[in-house]
Amino acid sequence: MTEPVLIFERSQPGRTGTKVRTTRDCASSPQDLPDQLVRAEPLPLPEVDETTLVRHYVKLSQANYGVDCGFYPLGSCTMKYNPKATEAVAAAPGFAQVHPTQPPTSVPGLLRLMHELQDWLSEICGMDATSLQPAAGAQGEFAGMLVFRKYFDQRGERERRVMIVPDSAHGTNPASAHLAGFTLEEVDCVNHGGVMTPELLEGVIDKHGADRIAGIMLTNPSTLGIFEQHILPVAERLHEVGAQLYYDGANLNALLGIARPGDMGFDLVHLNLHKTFSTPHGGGGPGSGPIGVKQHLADFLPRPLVRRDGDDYAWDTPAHSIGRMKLYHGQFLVLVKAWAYIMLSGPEGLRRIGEHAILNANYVQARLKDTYYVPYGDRHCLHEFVASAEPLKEHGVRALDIAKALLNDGFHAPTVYFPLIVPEALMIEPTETESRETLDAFCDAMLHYAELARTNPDELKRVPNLRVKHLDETHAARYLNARWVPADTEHATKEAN
Amino acid sequence: MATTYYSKNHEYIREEDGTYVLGISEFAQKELGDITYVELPAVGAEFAGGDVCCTVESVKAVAEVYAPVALKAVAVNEALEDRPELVNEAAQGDGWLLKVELVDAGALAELMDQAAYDAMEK
Amino acid sequence: MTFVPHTSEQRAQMLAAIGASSIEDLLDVVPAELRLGHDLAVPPAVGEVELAQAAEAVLGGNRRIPLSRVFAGGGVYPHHVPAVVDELSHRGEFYTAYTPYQPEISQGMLQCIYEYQSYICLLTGMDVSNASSYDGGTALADAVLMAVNQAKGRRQRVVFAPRVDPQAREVVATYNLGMEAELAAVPSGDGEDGALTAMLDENTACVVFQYPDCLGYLDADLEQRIAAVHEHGALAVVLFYPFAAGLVRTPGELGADIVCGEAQCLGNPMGFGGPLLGLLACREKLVRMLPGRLIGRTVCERDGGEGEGFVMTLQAREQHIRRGRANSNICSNEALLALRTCIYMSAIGRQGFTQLAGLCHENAQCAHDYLLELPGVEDYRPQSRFFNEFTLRFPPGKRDAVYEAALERNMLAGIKPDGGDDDGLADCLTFAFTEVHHKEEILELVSCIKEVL
Repeated sequence: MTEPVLIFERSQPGRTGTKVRTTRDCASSPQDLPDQLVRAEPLPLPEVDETTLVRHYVKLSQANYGVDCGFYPLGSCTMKYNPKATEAVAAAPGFAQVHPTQPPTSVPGLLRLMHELQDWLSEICGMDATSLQPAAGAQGEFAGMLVFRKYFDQRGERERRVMIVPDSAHGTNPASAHLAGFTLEEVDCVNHGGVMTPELLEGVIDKHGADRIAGIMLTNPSTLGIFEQHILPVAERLHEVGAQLYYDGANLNALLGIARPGDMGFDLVHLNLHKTFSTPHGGGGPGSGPIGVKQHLADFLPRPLVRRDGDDYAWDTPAHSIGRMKLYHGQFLVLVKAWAYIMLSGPEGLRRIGEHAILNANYVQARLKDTYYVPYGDRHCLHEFVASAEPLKEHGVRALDIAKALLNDGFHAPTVYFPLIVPEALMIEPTETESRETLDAFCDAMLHYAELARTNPDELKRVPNLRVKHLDETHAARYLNARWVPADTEHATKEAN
Repeated sequence: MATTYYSKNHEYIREEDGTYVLGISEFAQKELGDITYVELPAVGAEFAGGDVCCTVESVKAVAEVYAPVALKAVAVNEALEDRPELVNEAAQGDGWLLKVELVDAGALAELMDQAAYDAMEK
Repeated sequence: MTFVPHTSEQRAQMLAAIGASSIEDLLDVVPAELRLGHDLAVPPAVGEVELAQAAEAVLGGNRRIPLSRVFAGGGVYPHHVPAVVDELSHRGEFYTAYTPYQPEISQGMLQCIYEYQSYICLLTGMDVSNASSYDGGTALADAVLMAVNQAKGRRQRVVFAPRVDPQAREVVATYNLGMEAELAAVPSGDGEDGALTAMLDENTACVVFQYPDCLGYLDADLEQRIAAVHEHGALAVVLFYPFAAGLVRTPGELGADIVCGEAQCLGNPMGFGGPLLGLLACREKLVRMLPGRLIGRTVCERDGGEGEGFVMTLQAREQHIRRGRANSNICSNEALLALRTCIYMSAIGRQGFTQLAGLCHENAQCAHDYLLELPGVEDYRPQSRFFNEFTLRFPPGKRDAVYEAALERNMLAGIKPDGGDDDGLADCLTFAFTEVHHKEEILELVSCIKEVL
């Protein structure tokens, strides 16, 4: 069979798969289900034996790439090694097989674990209270925006609707603010050293009026890997006009044990446990996006929180909670892994993480900056930096070609074409778990490509090791085929383009 | 003899024998890349100058199409539903978006002519 | 213990290459007044042995209830997870992969999610499914937002039919803080049919039905109700428990426009409530409003010749392109759980799924009949049928004693349904049964309750 072969195409009528259970000890004349609702025929699910099933998915895993396979320098994604010890902890049936409605008094240890994590994350960020509920970073951002909104509405400040976002921001920032009903003011930081400045801020305040400014969404360091060195005066001025500061925790790995957003004047932070705290990415989730707040916002946090009374733990609803962000308590098994990660790290370990993330990024920057254009390469970066493939453009080589060449050579590419403000951008975040040998191999490859761009660009673009390439995204969008259909349905001919 | 007027957002209105056609310019389609979908308004929809009247999606971008002057959509290019790529192939021909009636034809004078548009820095 | 591999020698060499004399030099970009002056107040680092002890200390004081003694649902169900699901999903190539933005090296995950999307379409009767939402509650919020956005401001009201899960409704209310649509609910009780009809007008964007409803019941007339919604030009959103599709018609077959739900039941552990798996699917005409990732099949070069492969598609819907104009901000979702659900459905297969759904129904039926024999125990809705979940009313004041007695005997006797605006639920428990339950333990539950009554 030519690839790709779907599991549905391996079906053989009459085959049975996994035997879950053979006994029926409650067999009785079943109560009739309403006639109008009974299925006439079973759904056309595949009929595959377990051997075939296992080989199908093992083969697919071999056509995939994870941190366990190799280097993954995606900027602002923090693709660090995922410890197996934390997996083992979370797999315990005492965590995995508990129903969420089991009363807290019968599972005090589970609430205690969550309460400890709430406290540790507050401490790490310099905040006063933390909610563990949001399911991912983007949901944490949205929750944060709703907290701000309810805070202002409670104070009768319904005009405060302008949220300031730098032009280097991740797309979820303006999306989250918009979903919460704020209007966006995008600020051009790239022409001001890549950071937010008091002058830029004053310009926005003048434009809209102090009473209409809701706040600012910043990540520090920024997506350019640069520390927001004006953060203290910017925070002071924003607080002076009654606005709030939101911290996007995507880049927290740079600051672990070194500095804290709470000390910089941020009022609310969101974290990504699947970045900084190394819970596995799973191909796109599950993540977990806790939010931490300063005391004045604590009453607005999503519910439920874990409250502690002496030795007892209970679910709590903050006085002016924005409500639930999702069902039940949050991504509990992901929280367990983050808890275990902090246990393994300890205070010295957390600082080592920050320090070595910064060391690794600076090392790669030092090796690449004379060949690739690094817009802010004149200074030390933090945990990531942005290089540009612009110097290679005259040879007809672009960032995308560099990315594919890296894939061909067994590396994952860095983030490309983000941030939008740097042309032919390559955003590189090595993380602290990469050895010098790995970094050298990556840098050697990058330098080799630059050389090849000058001498033989066609050779650079030939990616012989990639079995699958030139996937046509235009075709995918114009002729949407997002599911398998059984051959005998009316849609089969329509989708057989 | 057709006359084409351009806005600085790369929309055009082409006047031909008393009828008016709205689309995006050749330059705009190239910038957007392969177009995958065009969202058109209902026939009869009215727009003030500067209102978003259509949306054009490519693989990597979404562009809003603004009414250059106050207008009403009297026909939409239904061919674009099955073949959005017509906008790439013939943005200023068969890839038109709307046939429109203008509230005030005089407002066209505020738009650019071909020479001015070609000279505009893009 | 950390996973930082550097030796002090390597550190020195790297600093030399950078032109710095110490790591402290590299931190010159951080203002001195912001430098943390103390060690973080977290416990000292441990190794695997101490970590295991700490985990034991967390678990030790808890009441550990085996799966087969959990008789509770409410969106999260005690189903069996076949061994192959854990085994295959734990492979590092899947488990530690990032979002498949580089399709050339992500064909494995992309195909699995395409297969997952296919399964969800089969289970729901819809044309297109996203690659997952966070859970059933947020999927419902997404569905409602889709319906309101689709109407482009012309219709602002969302109507909840009776017995839609109160937690899920609360999630919608939270999401609505930014949207400000009008949320209206039909209370449960006599006259609810008339009340629902009265709420349908030209301002209604959608009506939300839960199927089976949050107390477990099946609405035999759901297809007609959906038709009535369509007559008023509104969309029908159905919050669905996908395991039921083993026995009942899909929401799509009944006319639904958007189907959402919680798919933890298909191959994922309960996990004390998370992570969960939101399913969200719709008719083809609504696909451009659909939040979340979408994997599409396309043409490519494969092994040097023409072939097909998978990519993330219609990305123009998403936050990284639309930014401030996006319908949703979702980025990371529940990909690994979607992978597990895909493997689960493949492992169970056509016959297995029908068989397991049948077991769920039989076990529930059996428990229901025994419990109803107890003095003073009644059906909350005697006129309604159920799939695997049902609600019973106990004699006044006895409900909590029943629940506590069962807990003492290491059983979870259902869930206490949140009152919401339904009356009479203070004396009720909602029980759920799956293929893991045994008659022996069901009888133990019954006799335990009997002692209390």
